[in-house]
Amino acid sequence: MAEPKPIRIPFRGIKGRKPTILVVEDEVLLRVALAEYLRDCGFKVYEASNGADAISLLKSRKYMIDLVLSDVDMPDVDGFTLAQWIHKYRPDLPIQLASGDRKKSDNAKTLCENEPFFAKPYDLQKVVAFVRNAIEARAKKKRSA
Amino acid sequence: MSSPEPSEPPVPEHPARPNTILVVEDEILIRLALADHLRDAGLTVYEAVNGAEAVDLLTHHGNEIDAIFSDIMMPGPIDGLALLAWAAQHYPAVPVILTSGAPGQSQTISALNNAGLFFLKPYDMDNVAKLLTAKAKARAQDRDGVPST
Repeated sequence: MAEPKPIRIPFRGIKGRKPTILVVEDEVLLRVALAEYLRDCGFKVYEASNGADAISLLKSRKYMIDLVLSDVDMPDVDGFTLAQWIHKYRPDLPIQLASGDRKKSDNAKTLCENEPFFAKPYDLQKVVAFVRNAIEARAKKKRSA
Repeated sequence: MSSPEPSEPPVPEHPARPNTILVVEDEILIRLALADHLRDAGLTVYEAVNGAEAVDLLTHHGNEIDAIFSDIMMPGPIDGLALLAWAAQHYPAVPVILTSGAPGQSQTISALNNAGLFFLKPYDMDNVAKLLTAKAKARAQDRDGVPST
């Protein structure tokens, strides 16, 4: 399937740096394709191959992250566990889960209240539209707080 | 008298493309810092967390990759030395640079070190970026016959 052309639209709300996404995905070809597409659309992207690495990165607090986009099915620490960790320790950080398994979608709705959920394979344009809105909404909320 | 219209630059037969590096490193904070540094230096970077992922990426994107920078000690069946051997067989024109914090006494590593293709950890990221940029540019020019960006 041909990749859609990346669209660069200036962001509102984040000054002086690119909006930053942590992509957590254990399938390397999917992870690299998604990360490269998001970079081409103007985001800064960090990559983790499982939930444990993602938590290590978030714990380091060295990197500013605006949104986490994570697969559900991963070895060791899966996306649900990562989402629970983020809700507990980084409650203001939005996380978006994705899975190729429709049943997991229901679990995600139960476990991640009010969290939207993506079905895999990734619809790249849909992903970009979502993360853009989520990051801008968060920036707006921070400004008005 | 009006000046003549500027002529359009000739379109190269093979348009230049960014130099692309495959970074293979299982420790996320090390991989992320290096990948960030290399991107800031103008390189395109693919990241693999182990040798198996690197082989997968090379199998599907091998013609885009100009150089490989890999840790030696990684979990799984394919460590850095096995990746070096695999790449030499399947992508002999792609330079492989290895790194380790505890390289041991291997003849392969001595040979790589003598050839300037080995970095002892912790390495200077500027030096890594300079070497990878030079290797990638040389590789891209060999392949495409035009300088890369």
